Amino acid sequence: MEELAALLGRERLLLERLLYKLVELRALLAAGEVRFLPWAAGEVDHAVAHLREAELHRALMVNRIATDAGIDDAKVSLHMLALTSPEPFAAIFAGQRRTFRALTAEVRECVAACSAAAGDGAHLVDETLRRVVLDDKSAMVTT
Amino acid sequence: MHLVSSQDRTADDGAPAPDDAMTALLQAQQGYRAAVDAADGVSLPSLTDFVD
Repeated sequence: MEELAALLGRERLLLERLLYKLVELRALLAAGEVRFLPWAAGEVDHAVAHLREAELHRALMVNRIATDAGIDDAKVSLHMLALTSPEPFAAIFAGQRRTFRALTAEVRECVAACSAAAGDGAHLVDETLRRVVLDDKSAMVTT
Repeated sequence: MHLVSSQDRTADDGAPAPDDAMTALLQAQQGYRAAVDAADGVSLPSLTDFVD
């Protein structure tokens, strides 16, 4: 239990780091600082990869806990652990669950904002490039 | 949106040089596409399932 709580603490930090990188990306998009977008996007990818590793470690540990308890690991959730674990772990897991829920909601919100802003920007640039190419072609025809 | 910076302008006439403007547009296109891909790559199904 202690090991799982520590692992979840690390996963929470990695989720916060991902959120931070998404907030950075959103701020760059809002400021129109397109030069730095590939760097910011790369940092988001990096944060996602770290989170995936932590998810894998957690899944392995949950599987071990489920095997020891003789239950299906798909049935082991943070909610269930918060309800059935002895104290102080019940309180710890309940607190972690609240934090994870709030963070994942923020991540989803930020991803949606980044996706919309980047999509709009890409569309605008594509349209501008298309017009530039068409203008060049018509200039070549008229000369 | 900052597609053409003051550095993209020529010194003599103040207008963006065509090549520089095209470079800025391509850079912007690359940046926005990277941002779209990064946002698309963020999904948390494993965590969401475990937490809920």
